[in-house]
Amino acid sequence: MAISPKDVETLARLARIQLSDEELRRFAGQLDEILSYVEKLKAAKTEGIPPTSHVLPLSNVFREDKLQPSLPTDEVLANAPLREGPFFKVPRVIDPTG
Amino acid sequence: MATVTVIGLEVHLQLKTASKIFCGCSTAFGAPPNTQVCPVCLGLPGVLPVLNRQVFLSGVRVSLALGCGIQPRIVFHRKNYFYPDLPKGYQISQYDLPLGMNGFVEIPSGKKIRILRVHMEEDAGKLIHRPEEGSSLVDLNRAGVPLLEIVTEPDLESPEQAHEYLKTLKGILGYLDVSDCDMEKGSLRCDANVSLKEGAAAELGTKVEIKNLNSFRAVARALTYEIQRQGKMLQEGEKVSQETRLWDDAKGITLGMRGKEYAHDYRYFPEPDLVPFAVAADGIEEARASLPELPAQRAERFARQYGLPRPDAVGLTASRSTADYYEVCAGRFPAGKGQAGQKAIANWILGDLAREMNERNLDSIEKLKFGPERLVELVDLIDSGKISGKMAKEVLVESIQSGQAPGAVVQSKGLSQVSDKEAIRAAARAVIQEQPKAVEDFKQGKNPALMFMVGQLMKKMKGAANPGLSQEVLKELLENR
Amino acid sequence: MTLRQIQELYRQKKATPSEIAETFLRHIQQREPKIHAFAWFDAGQVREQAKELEKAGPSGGRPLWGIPVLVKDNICVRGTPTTCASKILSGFRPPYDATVVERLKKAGAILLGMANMDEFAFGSSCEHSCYGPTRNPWDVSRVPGGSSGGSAAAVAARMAPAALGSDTGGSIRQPASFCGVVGLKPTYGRISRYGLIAFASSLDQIGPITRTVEDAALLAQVMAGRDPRDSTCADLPVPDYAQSLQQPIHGLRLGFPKEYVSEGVDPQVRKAIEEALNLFRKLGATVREVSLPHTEYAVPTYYIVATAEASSNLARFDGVRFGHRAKSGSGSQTLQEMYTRSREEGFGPEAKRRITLGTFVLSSGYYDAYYAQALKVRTLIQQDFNRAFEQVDCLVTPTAPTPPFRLGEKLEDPLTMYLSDILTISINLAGVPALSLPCGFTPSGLPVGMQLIAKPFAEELLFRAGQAYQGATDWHQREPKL
Repeated sequence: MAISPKDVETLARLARIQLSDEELRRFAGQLDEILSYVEKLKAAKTEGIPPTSHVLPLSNVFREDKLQPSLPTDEVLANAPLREGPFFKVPRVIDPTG
Repeated sequence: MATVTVIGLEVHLQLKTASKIFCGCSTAFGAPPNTQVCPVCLGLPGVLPVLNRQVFLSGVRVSLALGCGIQPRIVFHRKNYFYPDLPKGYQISQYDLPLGMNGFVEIPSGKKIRILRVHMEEDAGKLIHRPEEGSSLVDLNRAGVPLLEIVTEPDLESPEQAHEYLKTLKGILGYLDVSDCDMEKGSLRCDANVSLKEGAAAELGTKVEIKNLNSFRAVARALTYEIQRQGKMLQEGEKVSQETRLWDDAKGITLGMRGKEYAHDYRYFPEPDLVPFAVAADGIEEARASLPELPAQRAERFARQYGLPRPDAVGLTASRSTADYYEVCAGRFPAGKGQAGQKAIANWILGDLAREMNERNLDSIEKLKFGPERLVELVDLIDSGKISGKMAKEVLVESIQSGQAPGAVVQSKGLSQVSDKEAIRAAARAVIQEQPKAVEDFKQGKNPALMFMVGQLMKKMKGAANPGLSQEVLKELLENR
Repeated sequence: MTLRQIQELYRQKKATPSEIAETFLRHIQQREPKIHAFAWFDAGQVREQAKELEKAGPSGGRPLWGIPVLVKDNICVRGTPTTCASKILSGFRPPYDATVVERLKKAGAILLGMANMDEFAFGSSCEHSCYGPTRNPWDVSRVPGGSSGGSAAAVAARMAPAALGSDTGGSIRQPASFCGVVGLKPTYGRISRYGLIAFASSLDQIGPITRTVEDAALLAQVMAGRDPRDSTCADLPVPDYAQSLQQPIHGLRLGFPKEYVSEGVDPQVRKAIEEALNLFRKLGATVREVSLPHTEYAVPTYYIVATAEASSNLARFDGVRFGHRAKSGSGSQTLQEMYTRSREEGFGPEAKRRITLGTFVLSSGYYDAYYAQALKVRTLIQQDFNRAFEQVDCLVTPTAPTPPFRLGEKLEDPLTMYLSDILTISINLAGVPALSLPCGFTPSGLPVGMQLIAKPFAEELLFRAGQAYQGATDWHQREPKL
């Protein structure tokens, strides 16, 4: 069993998703099944094979350091669930990580 | 066995490009909130980053100036975590394939501090906390501003060395003109890692990261405090825990952060929305050739070309603007003046001008508004005998304060030294009349008597007599009696 | 009506955009209650656009003048609710147009509305939508395929002459196959992704869904080409696709990957493909067997790479700047509570499942075993295709292993659903282009699709072969009984 409900709980926390106990159990079972299937990847012979993180052989794509118009502040905030003046408003941040 | 201090520094540098790292919004400081935001830096669904070429070029130049090798394959990675100032829920940064690696910075005390890596990343937005209201406000103007992160190996051995390193680094970066390097404005930020170990050959101790350092002084003070704190713990047999602590400048202590609810696992993976980057060998050489003369080389040249002692040369070249200022002055001296004049200028800059800058809390010589031609004018006034060296110091202060050129100050305050031989002779005769004992003492070979009479002459002329000339005239009169 | 036919009507001044729009509006009114292909629709806006176009009149530089196109609900249209069929984006109106939308507008197209889809493109059946499922016009008890189910169903049901879809693991091709229409997944980097709400950034592509290959080529021509806002969009010239349609396929070398039959393909599907291959032979092409030996690793590789990228792409849905934010209920909520409750309320079960799986494969301790390994296997899969294209010009395969399945049939077991992507997934991993077109019907009248695959940026070959096939068959002209 590669993944337990406890594991799923940790993952859910990392991903900021709240799962019910029932969901935790169901997911653990389903994910476990998927992971067992995915285990077969280990059989693939990949010694000396470079990883592909970009499928096109493109490199060095840049934009010039020129100003482009920004959005008007009202448009920036148009979809905001909660705003105060020109700011987005969120519940107080307690953990002052930099 | 003596405990050994091990310090590493991470510097984040905001680059002063016109636009952000992945979009065309302005990077200007101090704009009204959320006025420099577009769909890309706002992290809206569907948007994509495109790298600002100037950020890459500046990164290459900084890497080369710090002696780093440019990596053959440069890749961006996503650093995933949740925070309201991080719109996409990940920061585009670099992980194991950064821009530059394995350089060094030589600090004035002679030690080589190795640079582990230089990499590019985007800055986050700003939060305004209102604890009383239980809310925080988010301003994303700063999100996407380009940053370079410069990380040292743990080679620093003391808070003083750390301070030296930061000043030297700032000097080099100032020469490249890639950033304002202003810790107060946040364009240069520093986090410190410090640990203690038992003796030079021992294993590294547990390191503590210190954040919230807002000035070079704060870095030194925080390190001093933290070294003491850890030292005491080790003495009492306590274990130092690996953690991040915040520097409280008002209280002068580091504070542990409240236990975090969620541990960070950044889950780095290569950024699929950006392609890999590479610089051809000739591109690297071209960039290297385009670097300006850096502080170390310039100091060497100053010592050679202007005959300056090494500490003077290093002091003058620490900042590009000061070095430029010096060279303008030095160049104004006619061939004959040569080394003496150039040493005098150096003294003025390193002494009086530096003091005036410190008193006014200025970090660059232009802000003094006393241009090189004014310093040259001042020195000329001394050389031509119009004022004494002592007077010149006062003229300098007055000139800076009033904004008037030194010559104008001398005029308006009537400070011209009297170099009129006749006037001096008249005063000298009067002194000789009034001071028979001194005259006797001089005749008996007691030279201090001469200086005493020069003093009396100066008093008579309200300090405006050229001292050299005064002495000459007195001696002449005395010897011819 | 195909795009070609509408263009001809305009050329001969036999119809106006308003009249054409009304035709489709009528079909929508009649058929949409049964099919449910739309996530968002506003007849008034459609009519307004038609009137604007008539006022301006046609022009040479606007090849899509007066052509209605349906846009999948994950492609940003300025000012229009673009929600990825998810509660977490309810009410979201982007302040910008996707690049493809800009290009469609510039070419004079009428935006017909937003097409239903599986939430965030996570699905192969269009059953994972917060708006409810779309139904297959050929048999409304069956799925239209996914995730671009709404787009394909609308085109099949003649509610739209063309639609845009997106394809990450088969999401254009499989619904095209299930609905008896044409769907193109272009080469990765051929069409800009700017404005496509990302699922898996290294796999996603936008593509056209139409009734004919000719129409697909027309839309691809308008949308393709360099976009300075997308670093992964190639700066390569776009060939004249219309030209390539005319070229005969005599001597075209076709290949059939042997691994694509051994993957549990339904006999009815196999039969239709064999007949298609025979037709290709009659048209002058040669057919031989090739091998893509790492096919068995495609599904697990895909599900690691795609979910990893998706878990990161979906982190921005945090309730701070847009989308759903959970209400604080009694008293206040902390920041972390706001995050977790908003995402819990906003995401459907498939989205949560994939985010969790993606987080897992990237997490410290597991990265090397899963994600790093998957990236290496991806290289092997890409190499398989490179080798095959040294021997042949195009690969021919079924698009889906089965005809369209019934609603609810595969919902209980996600793994079964994932396995049905086996025939389309490798194409996204390798970044090559592929075209699905109808190649037959089962005895009970369900569509079967054939997939043509070519090497990177060789869409012309796909159009050429597809056009030749459609010139000799009439599958694409059949209409579902509605």
